Amino acid sequence: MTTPRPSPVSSKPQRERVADRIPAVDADLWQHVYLILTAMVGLLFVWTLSATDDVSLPLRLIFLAVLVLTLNRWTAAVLLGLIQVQLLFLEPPAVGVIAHIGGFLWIMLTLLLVLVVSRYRTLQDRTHSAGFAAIRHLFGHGLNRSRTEAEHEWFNLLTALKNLLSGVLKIAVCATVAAVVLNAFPVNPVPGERLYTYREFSLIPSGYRLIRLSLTLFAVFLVSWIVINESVWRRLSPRQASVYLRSTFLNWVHRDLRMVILKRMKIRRAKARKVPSMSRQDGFDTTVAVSDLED
Amino acid sequence: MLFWIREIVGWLLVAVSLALVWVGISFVSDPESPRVVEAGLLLFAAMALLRMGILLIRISTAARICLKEPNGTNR
Amino acid sequence: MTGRSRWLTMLAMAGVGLGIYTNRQTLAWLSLTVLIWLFVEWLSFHWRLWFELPRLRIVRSVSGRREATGFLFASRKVVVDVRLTMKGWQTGIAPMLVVRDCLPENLSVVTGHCEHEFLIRSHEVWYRYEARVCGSGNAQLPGFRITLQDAQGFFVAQRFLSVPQTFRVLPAFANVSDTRPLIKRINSLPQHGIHRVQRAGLGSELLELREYVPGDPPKSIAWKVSARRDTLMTRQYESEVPVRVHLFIDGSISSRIGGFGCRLLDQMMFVAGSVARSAISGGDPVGAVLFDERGARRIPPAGGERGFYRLLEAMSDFSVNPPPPQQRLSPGLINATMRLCGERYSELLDPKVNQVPFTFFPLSPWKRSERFRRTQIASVLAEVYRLSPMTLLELVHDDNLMATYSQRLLADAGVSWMDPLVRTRSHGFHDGMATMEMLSKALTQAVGTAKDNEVYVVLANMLECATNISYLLPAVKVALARHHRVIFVSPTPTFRRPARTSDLPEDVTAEELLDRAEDLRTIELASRLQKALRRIGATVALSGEEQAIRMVLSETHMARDGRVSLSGVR
Repeated sequence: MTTPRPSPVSSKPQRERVADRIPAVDADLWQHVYLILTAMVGLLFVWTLSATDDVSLPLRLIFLAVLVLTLNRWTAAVLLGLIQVQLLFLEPPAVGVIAHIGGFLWIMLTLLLVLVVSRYRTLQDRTHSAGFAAIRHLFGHGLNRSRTEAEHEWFNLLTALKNLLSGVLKIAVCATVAAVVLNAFPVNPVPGERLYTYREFSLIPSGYRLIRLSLTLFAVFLVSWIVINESVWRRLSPRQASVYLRSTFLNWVHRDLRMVILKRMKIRRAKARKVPSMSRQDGFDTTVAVSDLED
Repeated sequence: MLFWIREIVGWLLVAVSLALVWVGISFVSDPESPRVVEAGLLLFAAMALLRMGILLIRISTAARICLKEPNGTNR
Repeated sequence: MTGRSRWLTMLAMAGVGLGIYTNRQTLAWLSLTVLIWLFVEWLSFHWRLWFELPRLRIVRSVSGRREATGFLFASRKVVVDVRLTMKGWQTGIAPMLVVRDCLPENLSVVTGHCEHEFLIRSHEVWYRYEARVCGSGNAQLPGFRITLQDAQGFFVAQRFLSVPQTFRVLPAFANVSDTRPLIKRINSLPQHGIHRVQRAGLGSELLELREYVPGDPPKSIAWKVSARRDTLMTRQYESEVPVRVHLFIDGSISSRIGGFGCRLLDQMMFVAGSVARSAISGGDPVGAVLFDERGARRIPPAGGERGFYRLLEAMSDFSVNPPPPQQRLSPGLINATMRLCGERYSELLDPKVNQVPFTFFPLSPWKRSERFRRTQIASVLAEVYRLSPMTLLELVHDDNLMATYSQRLLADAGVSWMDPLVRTRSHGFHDGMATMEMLSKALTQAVGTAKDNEVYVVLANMLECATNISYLLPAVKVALARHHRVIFVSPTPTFRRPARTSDLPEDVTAEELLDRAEDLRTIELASRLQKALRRIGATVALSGEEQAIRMVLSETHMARDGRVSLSGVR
């Protein structure tokens, strides 16, 4: 499974160069890399999660083993959901400006875990190889590899990490933007008038903040959605455009056309029912009529 | 030409709906007297207008794409 | 949007709401980050899908040929190179991209994979695989199915890039070694394609000496022998005639059923191609009569390489399956059509483009989803075959119409005549009778226009027609009475000769029992057929393998020598 794929043979030197470069990227090896990363990030995450608690090392390792070994079944959404539930119940309520580096790093770590788990699952869908195969490869095949194989694996490791780096940067930017957005909508927009909205309109400040933030985010999403979708719509192929027009037209007149068609079919079937009796008298073949009747 | 007129009308409807969304947000953003219910009604109307506008734009665009095809008139 | 991203979005929205409402800062921050991350990924995915992917160019070369048309030989391997390049200013093909060459059923991959995934950006990438051409006819390579996905699997889109290449697949043929002795036993070699027949004629080789009969030319009197015997003796020379081979190939429904390379027609084509190759090498002109339900097509006898390839081309065209016989609509047919639509018209199945009208009925969810699928298929069919919205809706409600168009779509895509396209069990007695009538007519016509020394090789699914052989016998008798040779080659569905074996293993499976039953049926039909044809002096081979080819060639050889066949049945 982990041996390098045979590169296609070609007589042209240019082809050989391209061929040498491309088959070196191996989805199986990338999957192994993401498995190791999941274990490492998971370990860090577990450590940070229970840093303040007096949780023993074996318990942490058991949690990590559960995380890694059930990777084939768990999805990133389950992981995120569990973390959110944990935050909802254990995080103390706080009002103020978000500007602490610890929180930023913790969010980065959490989302990095979500990212590697998602990527692992995506690759697994492609390669259909189980996580156990990767573990077996790591422990069983570790020392008996040739120089070419080692170079191949090293190349894949570096490429996968490089690829991961862009994802991490993206998450960092997103976390910063999220912090800016949250800070832009403080709990109490008018300093000193903290409970004004609550008194007048039965809105607690955090509820009011939620509505404002949701509306603003919705408006931003709406504008970008319109711009992107409408610019994309102009790139439809003629076939797609034709299918859209036909189906939209059908949507409008569906009820009427359906009535016409069902009526026509009814008449056709009635005619078909009459044919067998006539044909039996005349001695013609009745195959067609009978097949229609069976409908 | 008919397609272009339809598309312009569609964009106008989209613009009106976005304006309504803006008004709705400004209703809510006023810390002195946030009008949440009015903003909700406005947003509902804006969504209806947006849907109509998008439909007009999409139909006219699709029709123009079909016309560009050499044998598009046969369809 | 995949299920993963949908769940993440829902969780993130809930997290933002709860986090802000209950003043859990980290929860709100984390959830909002996830939302923004998904939004950024969505933007980036759309950019790649709509602005990068259209710049992708794929070139396929089949055995070094990039042209839209060409020809291949059945049963031979071809090397397929696929090269992906990015046109314009783009830096490379973005990951994660999965490219799959949509192969017709007539090509099967032997080494490598026709699907490749690309995980990193590259300016130019290529891959190679080897495929085997299964049967004669044609092979249409329509294009590539492209699956574009982001690295996390949040968004996925499938597109079809049309890179059509159509190849005419000529039948395979074996170069059977010549069975004639190489020792020279004649004084003068006749012209290529002219054979010495041991009958009195105007050749150059002496056949016999006989007593002079008034009217014999004085030039032919053997004076020395006449002097020795004291009576006038005349030299009788051998006849020198060409031998013409006629191939009668049956393309009826029963011979076309099965996967490419496993059809009876493929066996027949192999035998016919090999016989034609050998006969033309020996200088004999070869013609053919190709008959099926559509009628008969006659290829006049011709010799030489040009004649051989003209014959192969005609046989290749004949091997292409015609529109299949009408079937009833079945779930299998709908599923097969949906799979094909998903592979080749995936962009037309996008719910944004292909909208399904809302109806209250049917109420049950599975029936609703079935109706949804059917409406989507109908919409694709309406687009492919340029149907009106009225016909589109008729497709949704009329099963027969839907079955017709689904079958048409599958047949056009090069799907073989098997379930669900054609039901294999629905053909039998009536088809056999029709085949016999067609063959009888074709044989009678051929005898009517024949010269001396014709060899008629009938390649037909005779086992299926064994019960109706009486329809054919008069035509065969006429051909034999006119001193032509008639050889029947009937391929078997199992690719082997029916043999009478009584040994049955002790622990048999149901499949083995079915095979055994099929064998017994074949043996019964074969013996009936052999008896009927042997009685009138025709030769029969019940296999589509090399032995049948050798038998036809030895019969042809005997026709060249003017000898009589003794065996009759092989």
